[in-house]
Amino acid sequence: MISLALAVRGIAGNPSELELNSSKWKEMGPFELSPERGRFALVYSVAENKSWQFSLPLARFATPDLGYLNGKYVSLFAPGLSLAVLPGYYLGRAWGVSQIGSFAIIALFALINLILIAWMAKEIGAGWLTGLMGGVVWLFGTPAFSYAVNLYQHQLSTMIILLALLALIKLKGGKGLIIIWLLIGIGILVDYPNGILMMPIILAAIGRVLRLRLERNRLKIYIRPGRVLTLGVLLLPLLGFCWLNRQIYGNPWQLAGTVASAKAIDAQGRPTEPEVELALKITRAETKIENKRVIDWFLSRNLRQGFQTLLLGPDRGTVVYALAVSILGAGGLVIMEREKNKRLAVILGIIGINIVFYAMWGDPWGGWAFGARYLIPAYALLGVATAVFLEKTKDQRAAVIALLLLFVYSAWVNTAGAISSSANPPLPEVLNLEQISQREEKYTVWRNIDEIKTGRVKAAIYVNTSVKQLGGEGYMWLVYGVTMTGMVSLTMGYLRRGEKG
Amino acid sequence: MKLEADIGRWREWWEKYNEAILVGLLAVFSFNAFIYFYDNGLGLAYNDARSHLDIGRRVVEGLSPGLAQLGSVWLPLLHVLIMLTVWNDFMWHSGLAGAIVSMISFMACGVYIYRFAKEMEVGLGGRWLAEAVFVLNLNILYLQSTAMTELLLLATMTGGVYELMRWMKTDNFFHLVKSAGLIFLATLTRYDGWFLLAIATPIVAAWMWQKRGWKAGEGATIMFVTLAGMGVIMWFGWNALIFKDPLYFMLGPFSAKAQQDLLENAGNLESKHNLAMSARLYFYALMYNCGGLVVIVGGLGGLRMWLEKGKAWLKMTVTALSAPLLFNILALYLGHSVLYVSGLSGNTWFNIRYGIMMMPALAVFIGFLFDRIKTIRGVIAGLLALTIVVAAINKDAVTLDDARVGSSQKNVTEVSGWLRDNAADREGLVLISAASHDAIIFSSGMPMKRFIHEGTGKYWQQAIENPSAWARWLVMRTHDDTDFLFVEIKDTNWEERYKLVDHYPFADVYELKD
Repeated sequence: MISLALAVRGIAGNPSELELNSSKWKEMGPFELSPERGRFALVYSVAENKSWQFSLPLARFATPDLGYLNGKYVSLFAPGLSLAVLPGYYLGRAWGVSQIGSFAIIALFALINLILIAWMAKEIGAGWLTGLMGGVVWLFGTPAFSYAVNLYQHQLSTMIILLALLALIKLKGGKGLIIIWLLIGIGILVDYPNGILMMPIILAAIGRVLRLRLERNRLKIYIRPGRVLTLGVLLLPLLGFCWLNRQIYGNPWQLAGTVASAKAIDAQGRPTEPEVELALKITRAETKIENKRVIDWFLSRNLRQGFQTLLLGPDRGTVVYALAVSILGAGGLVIMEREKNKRLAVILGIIGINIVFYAMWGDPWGGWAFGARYLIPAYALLGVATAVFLEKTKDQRAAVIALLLLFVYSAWVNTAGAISSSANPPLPEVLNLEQISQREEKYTVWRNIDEIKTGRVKAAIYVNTSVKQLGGEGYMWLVYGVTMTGMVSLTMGYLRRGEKG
Repeated sequence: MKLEADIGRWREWWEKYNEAILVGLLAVFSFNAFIYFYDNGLGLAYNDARSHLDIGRRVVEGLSPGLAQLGSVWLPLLHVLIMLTVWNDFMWHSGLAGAIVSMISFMACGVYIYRFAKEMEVGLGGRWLAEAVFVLNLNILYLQSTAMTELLLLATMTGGVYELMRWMKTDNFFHLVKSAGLIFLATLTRYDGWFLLAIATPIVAAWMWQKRGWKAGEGATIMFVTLAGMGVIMWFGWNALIFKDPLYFMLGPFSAKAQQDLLENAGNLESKHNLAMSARLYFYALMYNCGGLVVIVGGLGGLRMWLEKGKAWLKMTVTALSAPLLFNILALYLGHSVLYVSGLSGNTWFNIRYGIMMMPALAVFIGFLFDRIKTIRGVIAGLLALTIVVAAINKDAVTLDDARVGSSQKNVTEVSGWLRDNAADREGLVLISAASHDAIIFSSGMPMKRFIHEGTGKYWQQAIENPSAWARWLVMRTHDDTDFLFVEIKDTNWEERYKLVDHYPFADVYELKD
């Protein structure tokens, strides 16, 4: 908790629309990338302007991830996350820290996720202690740390997936199904791909409504009509989805990502991108926008590049940014397979679909980012498997040595990312970037280390208090030290428990 | 609420006619894929497909028809099979004469994959999953719709290894004979088959030696090699007989080596003597052709199969099924093959389809893994289904790109169109190098007997000495020493007798002056 609090990014104050457009808040501040700006613009617009469409300063702030529809600037992102952090914004505003308040909600989600990982680990055969260890390895040893301290959807998506999975495991009756359907609907509101990532949960839930069995040449189909009716609760998030789309885009079925994008705005406040100019000139039915199909963003051919980037790439690869959780988690999955654990299929299904889905996506790098941010839900489930590994491994001492060695590395990498910046370029952009900047452009964690060395730390406590006197590196050691102390304490408890057992 | 149905009779029927249903489904997929690609004008997109059809046609029609037209570089089995129907103009120009061979091979390969899985005691689910992975691969569906050698090779190789496995399992010598027969056919289809022969022979020797001792091992190996290696011997003999050099196919002017030498001199053969690059290129080709997930899951399946305890025949089978992987990497490394992958070796595709050679093996491995790891069956099937559906919706087939926009294609529409419009209905012969411009010959729609090319023997010999006495038109890339016709006639006085009538990116057309 302390590590998280130390790392949350931000600047004190309640910025105005115009202030938000300054480099202090953008490039040099907490809104370094457009996904954060786009989502915060909607938070600000709803909270301050009471509008679902952006004013001109907010539209400028949100570029280049900005939508343009019917002469109005709109958000290009699913609105769920912006709505979820609104309470944090209001609370923060009352204290004079509206941006930090919004970001703190994400940190809160991350903390809840850590507990959910521990809970789920306990449900599938680990204990609370090993569960917490798995959660800590996930939160501080993967890019989950970087995305727990800024305004991205990944923590909320992970929370919804973990909750739905827990509901599936814990609640066997109709109540469980109602919760699962609701969470699926909410998940889609937060980020559309969650509908795909949750597919294994959906299939498992359908299995509780409808079951096929083959017994001695007799096919038996069991249908539970009461449970079929639980599907009705999907109407609630669907209505919310349609209402929000109607408010924002004027069309209940308009998906956020399919709106024409305005990459920039000219001095007169008009969008300048050719695609938008086209949209202005041609009638709506003839525009490309109408033909923008979500499926076109995915190609099976991308799998080669996607796997390489997400698993092995120096700029985003799991082996670089989430080494501990992937090795220990793989061990846990193997143990689950050997024990024929009933939950393995759904857990591995979500991990697999997470990796394959984003490997097929045209941009597996996730734009400028830190690590494979799209894989944070998969890492969370690997955290659960890590707990299983720690619980069930025969040689606890060897497991502790492996855990500490791997975590020392993974926590160091991810602490650097969390307190500095999530704006590392994708490898393919580096050559062009170097031609423009005429200097070496790093694209791994060493870019973050360079920033930390020059004092460009974005953590709110560092920026707004006298802790700054520690310097960037000193502050990193502080956060890292707190994290390692937590892990070592848990490890000691684990060893002591082993001795007693 | 419970619904119940007695499916005993259905089940019996299903189990009884399983293979028949499979063949029916394979036929439906095969036929529909052919119609789809034919309707879209993609059936003959590969330059090589047109050349294969022309080779078959030249045997039955032309200025000097006969078996000698089978040539020296490409192995002859596909062309022999094309010969059976290519005499018919529709079969020739629609490409069906070659596609039908690929389509039947596709069905045979599909059946072998199914039987393979069944023989390995894979349940019904695993068998059908293996089948689906193979059949729903768009690259396979495209290649089975065109006159290329890949599907014929896959069928003969998969069948050969299947029978080899059955021999090891049952000790029935008849299966070894069948295996040798199928490998014999593979050696007459592509050179990959030769490598399979080289892998299968020590497997036969080692297996028999271990089970029955040295003498029996020796006997079985000699029997196997005598039949399976006959194709190789025949090919050396053919080259010696027709071209007076048993190594003509390997070292002659039209050989792959000659092509690779040109590329090497131009600095475009990065893989030669670079094992890492060779492996990387082939691995990329595998991923693009078979699918990234299929390669990973199939690789795990192969490993699982290799590690299966107490079944040495499975290890041998994995080794034999992996022959295309080893062959292609080795061929690239030795400089006998060339493969361009867009983004890795320049910005174009060339021969990317070689990556499809592991498809049957990967399908079998996946079926095996699905069967053995029961807890995650749904995950394997679900993820594969996701990638297959996305590929199908976006029509994502790298072989189509290779054929349409890569180095394997040549848009010869303009020059062949000129011939069709201006030469087809007029008297006179066209002098052209088939080695350089077979696609133009095919696409012109003119009968083969209107062309004088390298395969026409005395016609060619006399025409290149005195073109104007024999040919009304010349088609060649002027001042290009890779055009065999230009090289042959550049020292004659052809320019005095011919006028340039049109100029195109791939060839110029000259007509005899009045």
